[in-house]
Amino acid sequence: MKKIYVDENLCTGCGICIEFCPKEVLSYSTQRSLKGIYPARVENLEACTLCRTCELYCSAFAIAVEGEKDE
Amino acid sequence: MKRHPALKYFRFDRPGNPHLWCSGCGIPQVWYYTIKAIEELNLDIDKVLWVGGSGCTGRMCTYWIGDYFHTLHGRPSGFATGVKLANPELTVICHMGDGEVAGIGGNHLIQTARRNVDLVAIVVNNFNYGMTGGQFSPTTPRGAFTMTSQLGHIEYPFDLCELAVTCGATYVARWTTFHARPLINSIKKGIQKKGFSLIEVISQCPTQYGRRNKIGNGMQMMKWFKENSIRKKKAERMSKEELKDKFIIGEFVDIEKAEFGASLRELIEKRRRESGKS
Amino acid sequence: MNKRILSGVHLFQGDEACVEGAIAAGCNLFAGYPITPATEISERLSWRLFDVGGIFVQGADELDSLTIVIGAACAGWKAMTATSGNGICLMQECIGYAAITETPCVIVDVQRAGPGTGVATKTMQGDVYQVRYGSNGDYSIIALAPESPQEMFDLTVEAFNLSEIYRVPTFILSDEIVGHMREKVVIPEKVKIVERKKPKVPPQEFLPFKVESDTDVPPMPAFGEGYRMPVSGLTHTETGSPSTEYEVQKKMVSRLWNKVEKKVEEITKIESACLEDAKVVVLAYGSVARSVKSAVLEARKNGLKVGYLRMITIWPFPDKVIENIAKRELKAIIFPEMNMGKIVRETERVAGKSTEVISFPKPGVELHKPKEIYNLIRRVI
Repeated sequence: MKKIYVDENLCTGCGICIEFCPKEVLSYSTQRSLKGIYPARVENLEACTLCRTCELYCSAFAIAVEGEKDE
Repeated sequence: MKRHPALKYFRFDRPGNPHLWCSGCGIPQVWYYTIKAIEELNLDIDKVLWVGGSGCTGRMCTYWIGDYFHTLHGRPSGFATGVKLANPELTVICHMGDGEVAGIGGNHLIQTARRNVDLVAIVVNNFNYGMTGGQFSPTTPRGAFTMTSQLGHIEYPFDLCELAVTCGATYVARWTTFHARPLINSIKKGIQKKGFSLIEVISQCPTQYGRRNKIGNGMQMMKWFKENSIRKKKAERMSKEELKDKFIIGEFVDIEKAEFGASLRELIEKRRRESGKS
Repeated sequence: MNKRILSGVHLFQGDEACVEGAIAAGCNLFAGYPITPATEISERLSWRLFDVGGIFVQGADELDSLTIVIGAACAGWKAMTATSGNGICLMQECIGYAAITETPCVIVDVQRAGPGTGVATKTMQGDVYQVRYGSNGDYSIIALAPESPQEMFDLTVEAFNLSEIYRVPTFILSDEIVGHMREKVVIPEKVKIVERKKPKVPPQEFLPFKVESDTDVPPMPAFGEGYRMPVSGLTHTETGSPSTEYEVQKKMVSRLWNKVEKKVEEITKIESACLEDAKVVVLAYGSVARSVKSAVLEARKNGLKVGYLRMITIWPFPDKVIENIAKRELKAIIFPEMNMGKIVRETERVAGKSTEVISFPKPGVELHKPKEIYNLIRRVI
């Protein structure tokens, strides 16, 4: 069961995960978070290959990927 | 809500939410890469010491859940040497900024490399002194704009990897924050190496350096690293002009050499044998 | 040659005796830089430490040396460095760091003539304020002043013990005369050693800087013992968390100051004689005390009612002891020092209202001759 969590209390909207996801799974939310920025959100979970590049690159420790590659 | 895997090793009772680094900063990325290296090597948290100096990079150690040693600006390698001598079983990882390691800490760096102390020195190079507001550092490129080179920087920068190689480091590598996987592998190599390892990480400082030199935000700076990095093997076949303003990445040296602490401990054995004879 | 305690009777140079004191006290690491007149300490330790399973490092400079010492101390060892006044200047940042992180370490200062490069091979007592107030901010240290090679041994052992009890950088304020002279040194069979306090609770319950009162010293686990120690030079709370709040700064600094300054009575060591009917008291510390004793002996032979008091502990300054001396009906207190008059100012602060305090400065290179002190006693009395 794959799932991607974005913690809007931590996400700073830097856009790194969105830019570098090889499958364009993420995009900017259209709603501002309580922090006043547009956080990342999951646009296309189906395309996710669980490569975890977003986790590797997240500079706010705000994103988490659930699921293992061989499931 | 599943938490980011880095937070398992994180101290929350410290400044910031969850940390004090700017949006898009490369330092938290290097923080997680270090965690990945520790996890993948199955190290015991209680035997890993993080050492830092002063400054944005220096703060990395204060969020590590294990023992940490937040020391003086530029001097982590000196303090780390003392720790390693008293307890060689510990894995000691030093995170230092370009400003402190190549400026005030220059002597500590070259002496620790020369002695070949068993440490991993991860130098986060963001081309300026970030925490104090973005002044130029000994790695700031000529012509760049910073708070103390507002008319364009006139000094020449260090090549930290070349410096480390010349001083005798046994493992030297350079990557950027974009090159996460090779960087994690280099950190693992550095940890396992019995000798002085220096890993330079070209990192984005979007708030100071990126903004003042109109490179962009964190994401844009990482793209700039991706597009301007050239692997060492390829760079060897290119001309100086082609390599201007490029980052040469890869492993520069990987050798074996007698380690400082081990050599000193041999002297204890030597005295024991000599006094046994007399 | 594998014994830590070289018990017996020796003819040792002050510097050599200091080495034996350190090793007897359990010192395992020394990092130092060659500097006259302390170099002999490095040279003897460069083989003696390996004899007892310790490690000697020649630092790249003085401050490199003290960083290595502090690192080793935080990893559980007893560690020491030795230098002269110019080296202490370079170490000030690290001294402040040792103070705020409450790292036990011993720093031997074999004082020489200054300022600047001065006269490397001649004596002075110029660093008495530097060791106490040289670093930034407020903290406390302990400083002991030996007057003989025997005391170089005894006080070095004492310095290690004090530094472990109070968790402060502890100084041996020696000088070139005491460091280089050779005298009989008697090393006993056993030596009293104090180990640092370790936590009594498991890691989950341990708060690194939690104390009951503002003179308390918290226990100190080493790196790698499972306590996940947060050691930092930033102002911190009892959990080790950095803070910018006034209350945290006040609490921390007050304790760093009071843990030594309020324990003066326990820490102070003095030596005195002929005080009961003295009209004039001569104060001294270090090698000057040797001339003072000679002068006082001569004066007493000639019927002059003079006594002396030697401060073995210079910091924390023994306010009460000096106050009590001054309260007797004295003509004056005479204080010869090999500097422009430094500890005499502390004396004036405490005793000035009760009695006249006369400074006798000789700013380096030459020790006070017993005759000079005797003549001054004569004039004053």
